[in-house]
Amino acid sequence: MLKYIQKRLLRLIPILLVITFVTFSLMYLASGDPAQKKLVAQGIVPDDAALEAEREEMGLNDPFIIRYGKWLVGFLTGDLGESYSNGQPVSGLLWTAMGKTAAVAVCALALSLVISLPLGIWSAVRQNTFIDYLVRFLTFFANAVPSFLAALLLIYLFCIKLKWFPVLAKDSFRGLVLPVIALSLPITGKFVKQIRAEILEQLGEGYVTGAQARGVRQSTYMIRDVLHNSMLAIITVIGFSVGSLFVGSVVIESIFQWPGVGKLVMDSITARDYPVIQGFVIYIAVIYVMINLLTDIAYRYLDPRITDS
Amino acid sequence: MKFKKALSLLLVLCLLCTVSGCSHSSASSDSKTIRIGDLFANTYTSLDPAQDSCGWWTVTLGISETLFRIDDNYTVVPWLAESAASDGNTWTIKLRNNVVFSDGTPLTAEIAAESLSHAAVTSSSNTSLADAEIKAVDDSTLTITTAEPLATMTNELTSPAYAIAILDGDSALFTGPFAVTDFDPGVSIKASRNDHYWNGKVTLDGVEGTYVADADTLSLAFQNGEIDAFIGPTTNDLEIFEGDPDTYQVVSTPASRLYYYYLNLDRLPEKDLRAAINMSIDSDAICTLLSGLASPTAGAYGPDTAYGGVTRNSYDPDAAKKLIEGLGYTLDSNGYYAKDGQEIELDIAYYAARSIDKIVVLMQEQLKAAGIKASLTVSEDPDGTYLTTHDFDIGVYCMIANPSADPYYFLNRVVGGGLYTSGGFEDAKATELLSELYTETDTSQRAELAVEIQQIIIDDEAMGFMALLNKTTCMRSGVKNCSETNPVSYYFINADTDINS
Amino acid sequence: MKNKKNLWLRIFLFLAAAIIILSLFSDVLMPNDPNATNAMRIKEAPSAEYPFGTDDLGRCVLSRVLSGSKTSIFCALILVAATAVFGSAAGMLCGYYGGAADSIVMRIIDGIMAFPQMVLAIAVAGMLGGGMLNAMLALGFASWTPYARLARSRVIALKREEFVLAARISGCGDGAVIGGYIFPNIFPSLLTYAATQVGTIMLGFAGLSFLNLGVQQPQAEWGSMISSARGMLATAPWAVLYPALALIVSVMIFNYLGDAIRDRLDVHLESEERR
Repeated sequence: MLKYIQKRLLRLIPILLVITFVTFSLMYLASGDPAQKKLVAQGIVPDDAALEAEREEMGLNDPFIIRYGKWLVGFLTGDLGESYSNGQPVSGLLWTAMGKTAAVAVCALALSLVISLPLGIWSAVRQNTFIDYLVRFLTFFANAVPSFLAALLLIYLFCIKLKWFPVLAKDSFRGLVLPVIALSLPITGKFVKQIRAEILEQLGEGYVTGAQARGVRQSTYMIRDVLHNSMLAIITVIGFSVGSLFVGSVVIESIFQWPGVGKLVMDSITARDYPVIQGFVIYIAVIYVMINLLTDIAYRYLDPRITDS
Repeated sequence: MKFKKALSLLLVLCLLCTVSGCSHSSASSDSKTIRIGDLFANTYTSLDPAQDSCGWWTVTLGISETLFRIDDNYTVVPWLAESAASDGNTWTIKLRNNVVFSDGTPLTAEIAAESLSHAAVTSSSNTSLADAEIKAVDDSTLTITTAEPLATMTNELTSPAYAIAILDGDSALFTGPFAVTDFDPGVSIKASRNDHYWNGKVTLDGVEGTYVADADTLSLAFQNGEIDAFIGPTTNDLEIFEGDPDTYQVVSTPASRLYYYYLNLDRLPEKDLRAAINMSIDSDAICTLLSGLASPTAGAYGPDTAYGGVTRNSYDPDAAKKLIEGLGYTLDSNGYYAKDGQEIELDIAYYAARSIDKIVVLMQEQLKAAGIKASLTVSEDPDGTYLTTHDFDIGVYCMIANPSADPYYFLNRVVGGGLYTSGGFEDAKATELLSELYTETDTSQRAELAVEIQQIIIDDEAMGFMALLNKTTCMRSGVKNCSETNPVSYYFINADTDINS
Repeated sequence: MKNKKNLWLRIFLFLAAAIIILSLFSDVLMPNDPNATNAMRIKEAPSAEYPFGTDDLGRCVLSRVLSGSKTSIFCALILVAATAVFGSAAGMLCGYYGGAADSIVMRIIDGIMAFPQMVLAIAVAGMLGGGMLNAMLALGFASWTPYARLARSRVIALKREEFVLAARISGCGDGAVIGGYIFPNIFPSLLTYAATQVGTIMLGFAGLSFLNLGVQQPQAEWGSMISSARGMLATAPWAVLYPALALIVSVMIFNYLGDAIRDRLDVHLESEERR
């Protein structure tokens, strides 16, 4: 097991190199002349002398590969530069916002699981009944609604018509309810679908038929065997949902004004604050890779059938 | 079966938990605080009024004040100052003697001079005092000396960048009716009543400003009672608010944010073609589209201002067609004018803010009706793209043409060279008149010069002035005195603002 | 069981074909010019002249929904086809030949797949600027990799199979082996994955439109129609709900179709599908 983790960690190195390179090149191409962007973002109308001084100060006259190297060293030491618009360190901004995003994302994930586990199991147990068709229809529906539309419909119904919740999330529990629901909606759709498929697969296994033949109660073998054996697949599903959560948070946080990374990056796109966008992309990629790694490790740890090879 | 029951129980419990969150209704405290929302990006980034456009929102929230201000009739009146007199290059400004900061410190000429000197070199939005020498003469008198006589000194001093402040690191003291208590950069700001306020009693206990990036979210939060007032609704909002006058009050005041476009003189050298374009664009239809948010205009300023008396061709697509035909173009099978098999095809460059994205679609259709084909190109950042590169046939823009109750600001930008003199417009007569305008002190003479310069632009068919955006203030019922009749959009919360719960 | 699977597959194939044909003939079916604005007839409720009402520029919503079907559906189909062809070709070649090129390409793919698909698409679209072509490039850049990985792993497994070895020994060229023996065997997996992607890509376009990175005005696309009319939910709900309905129904049909194809071909997709 340790050997496997070691191997996986080693394999991360080239991936991280590619990630940082892709991110840096994207922003290198995107930002045009960063000196001009920085001055404009600070509200200064740049002239040639100011531009040249700024370029020199920012090290923009170095060749691409040197700049990438400098940036990479900065990234490894936790220094992602400073925001163009307010001069604060990017990593600090991102960490603060990341905490806020995590709060919503974890709640959304929990809500998704709480809804999708029973629904997925129910729909699998009652395969090809009305309930199954209804659950599957709702799943497909949830997967087909753009999240910004879902968020707006939720606001319209629960805030404007029913007056139950505030529109602006701010730092209150009540304010969090709608963003959490909106964020969990598409993930719930995916979860139900995959949990149902997994349970169906398990139900087709020999041990279930055996248990049924021996007259074991459904609830007993469902909890003891089927759920237990489905855990693996469910963990993988959770791991892979992290990407969707981050993407969802960009839209949802912008709509509900929740000060997480999603809103931070949207504000930065508007203000053309490239260091923050760059920091966001790289952080998301690293987190995503790490979570996938943990998922794989958990998968191996839980599944004795997979051996080190 | 037990298992399923347990699961359904769990599910019901979860739903109950979720719903129970809404059982407490929003507890409104006894203190009277007005909550406003602001759409302007990078709104609350710093307390220094000279930094970016930060002076804008400190004035908006009734936190900072300037030496002079613009009143409801669009004239400059003293605010923290008492009077001003000019003697060629030097202006002598006398301060009121009863002004104090929110901690009780009296305003002296020395503090004011220091504050202005800082802003003069820091501000990028207003550079009119960049080279000025600002000195305190005695406790309540200061002088500002410029290299050239600056006729519009008092107008310039209304700029929110020149708000008077005592800056100390990240904190700042101001003289307004409200003093900052809680500042969360980029997110929100809270201010409470300034008990030392120099100009009478402050009605409200506090004010809370929130930056809301999305216009629809802001409107929904307003409808849900989380925001008490804001400026700048969309046409949709207007329809909802005006349909329910018991809940919402909407006040529109003619203001000076101008929708206009540049014609690229290098790419459209034929003056008749440019004239035809200008005659195909219907300002009235644009204002109908922006129902109630904008008023049509012929020049860069409202027809009611002293410098609004310009004349131009009226909307007339048939006459436009005749002009184009006069240039040797004929209608082709697609319904567009073409010469030698080559259709006229114009590139309209625009950016998607303040309903410009809607206006350009209408412009495209209006041009089509006159047989001119046009395509649309959107940019995120007009200043960094098409205004700089001149890569357009029609470049649409939107700017506050009259921020300081004087025509120089806008005309200097579109005629005097630099970023906003786009599209290759160059006219010796206009440049000469502009430098006259800079130093001319007589108001009626200034108005005449301004009209003359605008007329040159119009006669050369170099630009098209389409509409002026009104300042539209939305308030929930019970909210009073939000400077809603003042034409300047950064005057909002003041000492008399009130709210009845 | 098989008959039932076939039945579902036929139903959704029929529905998908119906949508595609409808969008093919949308030019004929449109009652009005989809781009014609009318400042005098803004936000009109559905009527005989404007069956789905008009939007905030006085444009016919029905005509725009029909015209938008071309953009939304065809761009998604073209993009899926292009990424599938490119990704599978790259994956098959890498898997078949192996070597240093394979390692390099796989590292690049690992790197690209390290980003959540839409995060990368937003970053690329933000770099390229708005416009449908740029949005397609952005989504394409982020979505060709799973095909490559899928194709490569299947090819590596197949290479060891006897029938492939036999073909190679009997003198078939590389092209003939890939085209005649390997491709037919991995085609079902690729087709299934591609079918499940159509809906995802359609929603991806809608998401980019919301962030102002989608189609350019005045071109009609469902996502941008919903996004630009979203403030009108209270005053002109038809301008939001009809394009939303069109988008949701189409995405659902294509997703159902993807599932039906998978059930019919009995293909199991591993991690790729879960993303």
